[in-house]
Amino acid sequence: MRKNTTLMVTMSVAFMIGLSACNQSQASEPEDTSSSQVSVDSLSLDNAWVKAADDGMTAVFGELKNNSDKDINLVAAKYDDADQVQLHETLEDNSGGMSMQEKKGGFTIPAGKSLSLKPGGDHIMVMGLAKPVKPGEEISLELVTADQQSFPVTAIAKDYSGAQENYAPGEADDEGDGADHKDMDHKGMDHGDMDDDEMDHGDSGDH
Amino acid sequence: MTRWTTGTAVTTEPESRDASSDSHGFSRRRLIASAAAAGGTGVVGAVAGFGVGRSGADGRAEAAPSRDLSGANGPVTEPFYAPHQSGVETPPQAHAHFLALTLKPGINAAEVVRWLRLLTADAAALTQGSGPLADSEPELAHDPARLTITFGFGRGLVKLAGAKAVPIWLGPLEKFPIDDLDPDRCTGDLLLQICGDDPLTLAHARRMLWKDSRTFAEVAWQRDGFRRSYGSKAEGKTQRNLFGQLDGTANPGSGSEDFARIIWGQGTGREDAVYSARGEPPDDLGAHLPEWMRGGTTLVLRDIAMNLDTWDKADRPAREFATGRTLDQGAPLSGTDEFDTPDFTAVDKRGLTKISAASHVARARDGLGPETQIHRRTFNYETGAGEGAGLLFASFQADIDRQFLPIQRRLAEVDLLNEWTTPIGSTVWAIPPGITEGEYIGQSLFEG
Repeated sequence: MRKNTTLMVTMSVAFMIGLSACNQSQASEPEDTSSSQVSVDSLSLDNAWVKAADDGMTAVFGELKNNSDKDINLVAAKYDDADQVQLHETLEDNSGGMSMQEKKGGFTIPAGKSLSLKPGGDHIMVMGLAKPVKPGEEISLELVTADQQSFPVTAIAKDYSGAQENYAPGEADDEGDGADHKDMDHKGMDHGDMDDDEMDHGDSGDH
Repeated sequence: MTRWTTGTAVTTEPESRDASSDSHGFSRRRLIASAAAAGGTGVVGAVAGFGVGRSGADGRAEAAPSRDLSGANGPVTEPFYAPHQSGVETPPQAHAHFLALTLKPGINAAEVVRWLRLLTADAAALTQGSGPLADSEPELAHDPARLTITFGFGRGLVKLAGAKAVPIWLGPLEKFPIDDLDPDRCTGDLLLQICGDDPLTLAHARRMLWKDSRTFAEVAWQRDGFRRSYGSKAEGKTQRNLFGQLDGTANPGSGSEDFARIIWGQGTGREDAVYSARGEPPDDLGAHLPEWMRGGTTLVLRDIAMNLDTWDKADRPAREFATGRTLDQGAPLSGTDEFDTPDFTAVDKRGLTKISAASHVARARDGLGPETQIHRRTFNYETGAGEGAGLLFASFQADIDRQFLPIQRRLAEVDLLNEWTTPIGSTVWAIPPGITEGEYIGQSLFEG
């Protein structure tokens, strides 16, 4: 058993920054002489969690924190066990509902600031899962910035019924977990066409 | 130090040290509140050493009754990261949910560890007033009001760590003639004892813990209990059960040497130890516990139905005769104060013992030494008018064989109160030790 798998959930922010530092060797970032904490990653994802899913899609949430004194432009995220990962935003659409779409140009996190990734808002969208993401499991992702720096992050999987936009209709049919099936089957979501940036957010009535 | 000597002058001595001055000068609640305000959650656990005045001053102000309009209790926290789990020595809160869960078929040790990590993270956040990860209603977590979440392990869960890890006593108790057990209330692999002074906070905590459990387990049974509301009675006052009896008079005080030995099974080594009138308990009651349970204890949880309808037929003298105590003060019939030591040899004018040998108090303690003590942390329940009523009898002790069973066997044999009470549920739990930040509850079991 890896001893630090739940560290991410229980830990204070200060401690988590220290933990990220353990992964520093994998990042290509040069030492930042302007900071007294030279070993701190300039970008971290604090309190990170991912919605548990058997297959199909899921999403990653947390606090994207820019620990540096320069703006950071996050342009991509990588997850080995999925076909595709996109950075998404959620916007009001013309019909008064909410819809999500790929965020053009990625997320910009101002120097020293945070960007909250949460259900119903900005999030990291994971599509085409190659294997289930089980509750309690910790997954590893890489965050890639515009200047091609890469930051490894981890997220704990949680059983979560919200963030319904992450599921395509029909895919729920094979799931073991019964709670939401009817609901999801009736949702008018069209996630089948991955070439289309615009995705209907089916449960607009909830907002 | 007071010693147990039958029929001597010690009978007038209070049973505990708690009348000592530190219960006046120090309010444990105040300590916790200030520590919480300072953000020092880790510090508080080490402070469990202040005696709460079980028999101490009432604490009520002389002034006219008034309501607390400031919401003072909302932000009060109990420690989560501590040598012992909270919710055992913690002065009982007003409300409790007991949620027993059964592992789904085929769940393995690695999955249980994932589950326990999730629940640990939830409990760590919720008890300190924060919404855990993926909490859809974090605002409901913001008033912890002394929320504690205590984990108990059943045989089925411990077995997953290897047969050698399972203590012999971790399983159903022997059968007692008074029992009328419902098998559905005698199961479970994991117990979550969720206690707090705010029922809304409790409901939300239970919901969060359930959402992180439903992948791994199903509900075995659950029961809600209550005591006096926060603020109704001064801290440390013995609660009353639905029979109107004071319930828990003989408990060792939180933070006392008695508590350390009787419940945690290990002495503190302090020089100024003071013991109850029962005498000095042995300091080896925890010696039999497996290594992974050091710092933990055992819980016998009995669901005791109370027949209020037949109790109504008993008049006050009959009720007091059955209990061996007065109903108003809770004093033994040989004395005048709740904490007077019962004198089982005292006789009335007719030459009969003032306390019947068949009464509850006599059966529960006459002739039993300081080893044979437990800590009862009880909660009442009543499901509705004319419906089931009873007591969730949570009995904590280091050693079930040496402490709980000798008492239970005697009560099952003869106890006048049995006329009105029936055990309908019974479970036994291993209470693992507390943890430090970064660990999960049960880590000593699965990685010890």
